[in-house]
Amino acid sequence: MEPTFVDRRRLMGAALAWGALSNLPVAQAAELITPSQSRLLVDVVDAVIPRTDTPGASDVGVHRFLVMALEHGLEGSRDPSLPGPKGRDHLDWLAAHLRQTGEKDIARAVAIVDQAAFAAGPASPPTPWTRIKSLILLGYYMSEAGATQELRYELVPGHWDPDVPVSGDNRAWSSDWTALTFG
Amino acid sequence: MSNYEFDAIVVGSGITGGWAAKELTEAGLKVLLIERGRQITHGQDYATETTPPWELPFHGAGDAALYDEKYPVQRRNRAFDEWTQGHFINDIDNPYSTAAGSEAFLWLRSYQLGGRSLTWGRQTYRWSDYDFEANKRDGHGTDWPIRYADLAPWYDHVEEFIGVSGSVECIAALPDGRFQPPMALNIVEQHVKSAIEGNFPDRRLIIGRTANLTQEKEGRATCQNRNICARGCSYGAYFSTQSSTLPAAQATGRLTLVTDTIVEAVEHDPATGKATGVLVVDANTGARRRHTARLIFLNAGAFNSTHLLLRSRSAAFPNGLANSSGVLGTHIMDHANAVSAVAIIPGFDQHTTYGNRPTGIVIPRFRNLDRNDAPRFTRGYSYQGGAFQGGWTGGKRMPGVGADFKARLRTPQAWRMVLVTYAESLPLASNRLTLDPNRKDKHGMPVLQIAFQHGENERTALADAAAEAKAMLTAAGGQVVISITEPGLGGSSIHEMGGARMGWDPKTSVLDRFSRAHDVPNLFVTDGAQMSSSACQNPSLTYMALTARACHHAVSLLKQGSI
Ligand SMILES: Cc1cc2nc3c(=O)[nH]c(=O)nc-3n(C[C@H](O)[C@H](O)[C@H](O)COP(=O)(O)OP(=O)(O)OC[C@H]3O[C@@H](n4cnc5c(N)ncnc54)[C@H](O)[C@@H]3O)c2cc1C
Repeated sequence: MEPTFVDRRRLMGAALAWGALSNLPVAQAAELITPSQSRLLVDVVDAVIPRTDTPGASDVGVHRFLVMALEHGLEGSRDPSLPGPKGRDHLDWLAAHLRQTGEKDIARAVAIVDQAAFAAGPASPPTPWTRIKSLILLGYYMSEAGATQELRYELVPGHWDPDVPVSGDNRAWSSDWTALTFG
Repeated sequence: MSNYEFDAIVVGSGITGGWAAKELTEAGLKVLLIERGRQITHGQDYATETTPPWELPFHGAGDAALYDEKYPVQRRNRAFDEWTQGHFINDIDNPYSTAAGSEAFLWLRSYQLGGRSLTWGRQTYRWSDYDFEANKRDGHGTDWPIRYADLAPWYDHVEEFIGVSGSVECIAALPDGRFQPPMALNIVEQHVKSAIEGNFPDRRLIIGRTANLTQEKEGRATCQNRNICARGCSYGAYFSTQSSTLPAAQATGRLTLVTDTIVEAVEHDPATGKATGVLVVDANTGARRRHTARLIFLNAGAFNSTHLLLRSRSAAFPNGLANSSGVLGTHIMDHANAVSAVAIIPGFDQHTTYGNRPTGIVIPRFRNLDRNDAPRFTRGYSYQGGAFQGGWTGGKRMPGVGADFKARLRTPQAWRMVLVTYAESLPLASNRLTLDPNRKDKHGMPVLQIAFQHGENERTALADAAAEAKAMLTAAGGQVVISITEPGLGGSSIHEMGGARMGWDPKTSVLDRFSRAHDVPNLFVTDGAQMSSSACQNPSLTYMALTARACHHAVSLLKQGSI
């Protein structure tokens, strides 16, 4: 792996060092949040991507991925030029906004928060929720189960077919990098 | 002759340096190739080539906090991600500055064996005489001292060696080359092609010409349609220094390669008027030493080669080596780019594709060729892009949660067609490189200062390009959802060029028609620095052809004993 990847960063005052391919960042998530936050996140990520005939978001650890991703500023979650919470503070924002819906059922509360964020349609500006949602999708669809069971993953297609009739299995390719970049 | 360690020194091992090393060693010269970055061994060092996203800590998106801290410029390159980040420089260790009053400039770089040959987009186009005659025709810049006919055999030579897949089209503005079989347009691109060509008789939509193999070549396999080239390709299916020119140079037994070695200055003997060698710094220890040779080739990348000449100051050349004209550093360019249109193309839901084709489409320049049909601006632009079906990332901007939402993201999203414009960048004296008087890098070298601004001509061309892109995609039944006219920041096309322009007159140009310094007879600059105009095609093929031509010329001068 690239030497640039081996990097020391400070998290919660504790210096953690990790190598490129380790799963350490995800494993450390538990230390960053309280057990009750963690339980809430399990429900939230599953509300977005529930278990169906394939695993759901919490089955593949997206609740832990989300914490690390927020902590590291993915999707602009630490961008100083954007209004709103920074990093892990998104979780407090989320808890407060879910509470404000008055819904006891987390899945329903999540649906309400989502609706509010997209009130202006798909061109709605990013909000703390759209950042959280984007990271849930990243955590899920690029997990092994998300990429290979829910979607299809082929690292070496071997050939190019410019026109394939849609048939039974029309799952999207998680390895279609153009589709992901311009999505 | 015995006073020199080498016959030739080549500075930089990227797209053009690899070519210089190959041509010069194959001509019998003993060559030292000096690369400032680290060694990357073909195949073996492509560390992330096969890594699946779930094995990366951030699933491919990368550590944004790390990127903010160390890669604030490089991260703005679409090719930069968690797989490829090790193939780009760290901005902290490689500083540059922007001149007061100038817009920010994104200087996107790869300092490593192979340079940006490992990370480039592989789009490979010839220039035509519309391009080589442009400066003369409208008076911007200085007349190119060469024409298409001078370069045509060298284009042949380069294409045959690197392997370019493309279609023969007989388009005057985009001459055909020696192609391997083309890759196919997908079903939606075929539809858009017939709509455009049916409604706009002056326009063509063709498959992108790309340096990815569709037929095997010596030691290189055909493209596997992965489209993850910038991670490095152990099939050797795209052209890079590692897959192509370096093995050829090494096979001669006459190449000496050093990595982790920064050329600080080119040394010059005022008595003979010739360059004598280079002063280098060990990138790891900071130790300095020199190497000598009869010929010096600069291939460090347009801005780096210019930077190197600017800092090679001496009593004879107080403003930089080979700069008696005073134009060294001036007239830098980078294509003005914008996403001119994205349209949803309905009617193809029952069609999909298989595989990841590593190229897109191109609509060659059609403006201001034989007729001045767009009089509000001079020169032209061309489009690149393609049609594709969106993936799960579209869900980020989609309302919805739960099982229905998951089901919606399971299948490909709507077909979309994208047209990105590259507009010609006019050569202006005010767009220029200088040495920053106040700032030095960690080796004590003054950093490069960039002054760059897109002009009114580029903006007017992009406005025309957006209007025409919308008209074409609408004619194809598309519903336009995005159209941008504002150019991306300078540098974002990653076609930065100019700084040591070629020209007829030593008083107004740095290099002669063979890429040789007017002032220093054994010094050649054959990367993008030599460019006198920018055209609107991706430039690297032209750099390679000019490099091969310059090598041939240099060797013949050497054999004649005239240098
Ligand atoms: C993502 C991306 C996509 C691109 N797409 C295309 C495309 O589709 N088509 C196209 O034509 N072009 C494309 N380009 C541009 C293309 O990569 C460059 O035009 C090309 O690489 C320039 O070749 P070069 O040899 O001049 O420089 P480089 O390939 O950049 O190589 C320069 C080398 O010199 C070394 N060096 C620099 N300074 C020194 C020094 N002082 N001492 C020693 N060594 C030094 C560097 O480390 C580097 O290895 C793209 C670039 C990128 C990054």
